Amino acid sequence: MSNLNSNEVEYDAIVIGTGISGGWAAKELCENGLNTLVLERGRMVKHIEDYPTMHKDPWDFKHRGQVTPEDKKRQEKQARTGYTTGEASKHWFVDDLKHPYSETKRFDWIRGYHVGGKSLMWARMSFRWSEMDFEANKKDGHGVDWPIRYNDLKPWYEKVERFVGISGQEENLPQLPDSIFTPPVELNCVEKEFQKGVAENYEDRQIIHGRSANLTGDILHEGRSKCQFRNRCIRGCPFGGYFSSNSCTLPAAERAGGMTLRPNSIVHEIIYDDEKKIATGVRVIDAETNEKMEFYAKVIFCCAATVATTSILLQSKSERFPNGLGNDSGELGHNLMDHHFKVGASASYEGHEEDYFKGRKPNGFFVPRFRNLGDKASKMNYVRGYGMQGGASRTNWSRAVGEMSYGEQLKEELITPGKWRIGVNCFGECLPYHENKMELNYDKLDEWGLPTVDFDCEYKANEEAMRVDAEAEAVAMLKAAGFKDVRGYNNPCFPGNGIHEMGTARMGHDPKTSVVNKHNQIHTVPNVYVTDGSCMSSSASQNPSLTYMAITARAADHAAKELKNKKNG
Amino acid sequence: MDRRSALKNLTLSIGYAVAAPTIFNMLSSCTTDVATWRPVFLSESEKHLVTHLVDIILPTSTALPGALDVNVPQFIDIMYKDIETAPKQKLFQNGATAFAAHFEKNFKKEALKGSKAEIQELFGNYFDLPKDEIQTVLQEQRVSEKKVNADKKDRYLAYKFLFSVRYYALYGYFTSEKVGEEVLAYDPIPGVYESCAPLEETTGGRAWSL
Repeated sequence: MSNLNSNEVEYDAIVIGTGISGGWAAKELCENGLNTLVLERGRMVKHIEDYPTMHKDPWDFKHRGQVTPEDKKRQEKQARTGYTTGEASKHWFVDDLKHPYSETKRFDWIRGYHVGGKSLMWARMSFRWSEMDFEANKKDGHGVDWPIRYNDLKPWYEKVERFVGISGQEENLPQLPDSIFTPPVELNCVEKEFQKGVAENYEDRQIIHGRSANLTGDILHEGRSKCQFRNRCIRGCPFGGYFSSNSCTLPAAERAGGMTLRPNSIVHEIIYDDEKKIATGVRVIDAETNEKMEFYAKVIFCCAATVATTSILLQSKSERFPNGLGNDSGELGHNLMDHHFKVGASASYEGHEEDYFKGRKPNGFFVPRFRNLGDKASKMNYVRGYGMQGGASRTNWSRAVGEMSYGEQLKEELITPGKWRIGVNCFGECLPYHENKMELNYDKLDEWGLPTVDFDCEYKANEEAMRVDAEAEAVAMLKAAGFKDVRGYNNPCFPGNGIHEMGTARMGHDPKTSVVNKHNQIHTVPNVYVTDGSCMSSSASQNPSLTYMAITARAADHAAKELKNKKNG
Repeated sequence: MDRRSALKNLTLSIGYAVAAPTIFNMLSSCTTDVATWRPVFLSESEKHLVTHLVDIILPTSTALPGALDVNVPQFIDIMYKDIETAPKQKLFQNGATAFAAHFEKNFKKEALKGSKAEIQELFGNYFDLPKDEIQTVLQEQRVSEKKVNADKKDRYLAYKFLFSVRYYALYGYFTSEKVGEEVLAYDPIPGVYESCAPLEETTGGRAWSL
């Protein structure tokens, strides 16, 4: 570790960030024999050792999961999700007072600053994108055309899926290609009723198993065991039951050798050499000591997560790039997208009172997109589409809150499971709008003197029209399947809350309208690769992490080959 | 030995853990019963009322523990000190005062000296209502304090207090170790998932605690 602060060493590669994308970049680059420096702005989190709440039951928490008003003040924005800042997981989310940002329009920027990033707390839903998704921009004219197609990514999807382990079932749907699956997590009895009811009443849609990065089946994955159905993934899993950088990619990089992992390293600038016309390294501030340093490498992978990566590129100003590295197009920071959700329906099921389940499954059912699939019947008054995610369960004691019953009878009633309830939540595609953007805010600096970020982003008419349809369809499907007490909802949903922010350094054919090329290289600075969510040209409606992994693995392979060619040439 | 840290050590020592139900059987749970306790938020009078009220709402029986068996009053005391905001604390205190005043008017003595039977009688006055009146009360409780007419204020506040005690009684009881591990069906590491299992065979008819 003696060379850590020295600026004499040149690494083969620097990876900025350790989340879903950074972990994959580290693994692939190291496995290709590259001497790789991995920089993470937050603290170290070691697999198992640093998951303080992984075994806690409700009674092990002093406040049974609740947090104090003082804690709430420090995580006002992180708490906007409604599930991130309880006693069990608040330590994975940033302190909003220490890491401020501003909102010209409301944007819920949810972050984890630590080794592993959001791969520790992600919802693990893993779906391939389809040809339809990669062709969408070209076909309907929104955004710029993707310079890659499904077949470019297919082998990389396969590669990452073999390593990650995606539970699910083959369905042969053109709009949602199958992954290489481990066994699915079965639907429970009431979810099966919904599946059956929808199958009997609709020809254009179906209820399928959720597809998630939770390990099932018997294929060995080094250092991991199967999902134990505790459903405590967000705390970090001592079994390695779900995919995270900490349990999977970083240990693999470590095994390959050649990785130097440096936490507490805030990268704020990429150094550009005007003569060589390439990037030569990064400028870093040590988060703990405030020491400033530089590190050098032949290639640089930007995997800090969409907003952070874009912020670093915007801060990287030089004579050649006065508006940020690779920003000839002026698109850097623009076309910010997320998935809109919080729209759908819930209902009760009458029956199956004598049925229950064992284990707490980490996913539920999924309804693949059924709108605007290219045929006449599915064409709507808006473009693109949405998928539905949901689950059924029996209510617990909290069903009696807001009632006036009391006494022995109440106690006896509440120790038994309550009625079956089902929830359907729709996740919709957001179009890339140039005016939806993030900018650097030099009027408000953080404690390291770095500019903060300002957001100006909103959902528009296409998303609103989709939401109206999504609610109506969720209600109709539950009613058709015989569920009772069906209640639709379309709650306020602000960009960022889906924690799928993406698009601010988009891929494209043309340097005039995009930031990176088909290999994720900045058009004009080819030794800088951008492979996190910021490279996305459209958002599709599927959860994006699996696609980030495939894109990153593909780009790392390209970078490694380029370096080898240079060496040999 | 503290069960949780024992488990943690076990997990660490084998690198990654393998589900073994026997581990959990080996490690007994440790609970401490505190006979007397000094509140950190509640006044003596509030402590007296809360203690009797939670015992009325979730009484002890031969078959099942009650709220007092799992230290619900202590839980309410801590939650009101650490978790509830200042306005909610005030609302709770004003509600307790209104309920105590009603008690004093009825029984011509301090609430602090009220017996369980007397407190139960007064509680019944608030909670033993016909269905339509229950709906009225629940609706009235959704209104903010400022919008309540002066003549209805005391009753409104007393209900706020009683509903909060009832809420925390349920919350504290069902998230307590004793109820979570011994009354409800407890399975911290299921290991397998059975999507559809007969209730009676699986948990003896009980709800899962986690």
